[in-house]
Amino acid sequence: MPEQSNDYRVAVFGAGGVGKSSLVLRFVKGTFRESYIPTVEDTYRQVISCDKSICTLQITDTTGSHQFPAMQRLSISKGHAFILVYSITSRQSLEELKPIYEQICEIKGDVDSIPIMLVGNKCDESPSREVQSSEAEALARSWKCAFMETSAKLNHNVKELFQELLNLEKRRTVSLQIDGKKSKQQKRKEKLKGKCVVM
Amino acid sequence: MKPLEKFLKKPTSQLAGRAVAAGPGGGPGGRPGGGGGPPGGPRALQRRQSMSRLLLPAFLREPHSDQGLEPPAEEDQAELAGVAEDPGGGGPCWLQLDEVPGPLRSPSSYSSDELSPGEPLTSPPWAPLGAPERPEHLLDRVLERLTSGATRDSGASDILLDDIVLTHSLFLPTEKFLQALHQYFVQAGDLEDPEGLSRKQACLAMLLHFLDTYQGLLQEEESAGHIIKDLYLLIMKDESLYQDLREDTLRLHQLVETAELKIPEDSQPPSRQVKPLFRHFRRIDSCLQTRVAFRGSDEIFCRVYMPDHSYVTIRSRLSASVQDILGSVTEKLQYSEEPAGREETLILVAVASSGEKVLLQPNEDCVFTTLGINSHLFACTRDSYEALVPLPEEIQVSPGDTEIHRVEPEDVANHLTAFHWELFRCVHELEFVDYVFHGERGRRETANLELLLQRCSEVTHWVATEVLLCEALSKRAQLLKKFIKIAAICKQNQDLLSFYAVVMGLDNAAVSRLRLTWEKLPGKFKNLFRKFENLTDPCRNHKSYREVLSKMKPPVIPFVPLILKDLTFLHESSKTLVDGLVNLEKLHSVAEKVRTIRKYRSRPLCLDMEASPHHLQTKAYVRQFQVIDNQNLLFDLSYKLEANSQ
Ligand SMILES: Nc1nc2c(ncn2[C@@H]2O[C@H](COP(=O)(O)OP(=O)(O)O)[C@@H](O)[C@H]2O)c(=O)[nH]1
Ligand SMILES: [Mg+2]
Repeated sequence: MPEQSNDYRVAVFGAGGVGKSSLVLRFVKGTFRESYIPTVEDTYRQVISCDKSICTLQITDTTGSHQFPAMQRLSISKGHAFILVYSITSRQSLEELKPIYEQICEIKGDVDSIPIMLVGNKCDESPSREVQSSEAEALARSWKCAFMETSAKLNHNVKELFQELLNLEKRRTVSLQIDGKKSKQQKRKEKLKGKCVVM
Repeated sequence: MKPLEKFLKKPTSQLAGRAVAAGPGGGPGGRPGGGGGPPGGPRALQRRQSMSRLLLPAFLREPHSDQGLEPPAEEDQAELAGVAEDPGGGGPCWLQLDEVPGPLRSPSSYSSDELSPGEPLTSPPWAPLGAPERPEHLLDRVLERLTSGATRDSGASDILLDDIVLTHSLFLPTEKFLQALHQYFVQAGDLEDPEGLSRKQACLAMLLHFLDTYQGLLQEEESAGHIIKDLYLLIMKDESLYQDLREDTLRLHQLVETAELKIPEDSQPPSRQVKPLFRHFRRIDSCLQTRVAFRGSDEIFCRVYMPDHSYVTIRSRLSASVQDILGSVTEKLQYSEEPAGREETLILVAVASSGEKVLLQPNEDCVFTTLGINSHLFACTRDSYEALVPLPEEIQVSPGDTEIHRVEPEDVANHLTAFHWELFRCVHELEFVDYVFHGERGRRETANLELLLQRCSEVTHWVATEVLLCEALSKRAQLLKKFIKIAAICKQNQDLLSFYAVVMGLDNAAVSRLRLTWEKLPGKFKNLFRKFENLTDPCRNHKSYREVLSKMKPPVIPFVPLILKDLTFLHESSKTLVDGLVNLEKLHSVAEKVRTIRKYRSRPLCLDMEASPHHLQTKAYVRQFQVIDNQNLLFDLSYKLEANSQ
């Protein structure tokens, strides 16, 4: 595909079932579903602002399995920012992020300037918590990336997650807020939620 | 002389449609592969008028309208008059009894040249079955014939058997056909009675031939499978009595097993692997593996796009209906939470790279393999249909030498032949029948044939794309030379499909107008290409091509679109039922055509090819071309290369 410099690409990685799709759909569509449909690869596009003009935020939701290694490499090499999701109810899911992080380092080389967010999802399920925030925080420090706990189910920290990620981008100024007119999707989302989003 | 001029003169030319868009003012209305039609606006797609058909050469789409046929030369006309009078041989089966209604021409009223000069319409070798039959009684009649000792061993009864099995779907759906066979067996009478025994033997012969023909296809037909199973059990009950038929019953046993008939009591079949249909989901290594046939029950991944080019990947059966596909999309996007108002319901649209849109109907099925090369499925609401725009071109214009400049023409040609042989072999005989004679009787998946047609169009666009992406004049001339060499080797390989496709690619109006490039070509190559153009010339119903083809011994890869054109012609020039009675001559002619395909594949293709890493790279290249199939874009490139070559 021709390099669409106007796109800002975010890829979401993590083991199957941790809630990657739920986070993305909560953010993009404002919805949540209890049933589980495995993902192969989905990409959602949204208009955001970038260096005082507008650009397209492209969020790629990936599969948790290792079915398509080539597709994963492609998402990494084309990605500008990454969200690494585990579930706070599964230590295993945190472990599974390590090879992905290493692959990002390998493909991207210098990851210092690349926005990466470590995300502990399903924080609404604290009774069955297996990963303490402090542990994940420590890991994030060693990875030199940011950390956040979320709940796609309760819509906790979801929008914040994406905004924070964009704030980490230092090479350009990207923001979810667009001055002036709203994007179609945003209007749609507002309609769905029946309330106004922060403008 | 410009290579295209000749084509443009002919209304039947595969490029005639494109010629309309050929001028600089071709405009956005031009569509790949030519062809008219109302631009824009939701256009209901007729069942089975697939996108791949739209991409086929025009001569296939307008099979035999009178103006579509080359007016016969004078000497032919004299012949025509003679032939029309006398169908020769055993004569048509129903003509003697029925008057032909006004507008309908009987197949024998066509001159054989008009139909297919290489293979004149032959009368069945089996003696007429007597009075014409209604569809539901025809099978009984045929079985009676097979029962009567007279023709039992002759080749004629084998042909009759083959004719009926290959074409039964024209007059009876497979399930009804098998029911009739079952019933005949049950009523055949006692085994002690010699009549009853030979009736049952005829049934067994029919069933064996049926299974031999269908093979794995039966896995797709559950209800047919039940009837076969029943009949099989019935036959096996009597097995001890068929003394001299041990071999046959053994074979029956094997065939039933290989057909892997699904039995409902059995638990769900083990989860099958998802097959790579679309490029995005092909693993690096999978394109190097030998192609296996696709079946309707295969699971595939497919991207479905939204108007803003967001996409979701759905997992679906290859034979899924549009409704099913939309269901998966809706589920993924969680549309269900919204009130499904009339204007909120989704529609599925195929959008080609040129921007051409086709609205798919909810009850259409098996749509995945009918998409054009760079077409994509879009799901949107009705009110956003108009605003749908195609995805940006995927192809990269990379400076410097691309793969095509590095590879040897021999290697490319051999890999083309090897791959197309694989694809050709994946097409089941019955797909040819089903593709043309679908419709009233419902249809089966013809995915493998569609994929072969798609590939044909892909090769054509590949040639044009590579030439037009090459900016340096002298290099471009080298490339033309290379493609002509490739065509020559393909022809030598008896791979007329690749040969035809490459020549058509060079004949693309956007390529053939590059006067400066063609002028740089050595005379030897110009002459060779002129010869190739003559070979692919559709005049006199593809006479030169058919002559070359008829001299070839198997294995041969024929130019498949022409086979479909011939079958379509057979179909449309005569009715299957006349006054409710089956036109057996038509069945026989269709079966004959299918048997020619069988002949082409009757011997294995052996090409001597190394497996060095270098060769694997060429192999991978040949098996997944990236092409521009947007004719307007090809013209843009062409005008950029040579602005004005009168
Ligand atoms: N309790 C809870 N369940 C969640 C949350 N996010 C996702 N889920 C559930 O976890 C399952 C897997 O979610 P999904 O987003 O498909 O996971 P993915 O495989 O990472 O994309 C689904 O059944 C969701 O309903 C969350 O924040 N809290
Ligand atoms: Mg998912």
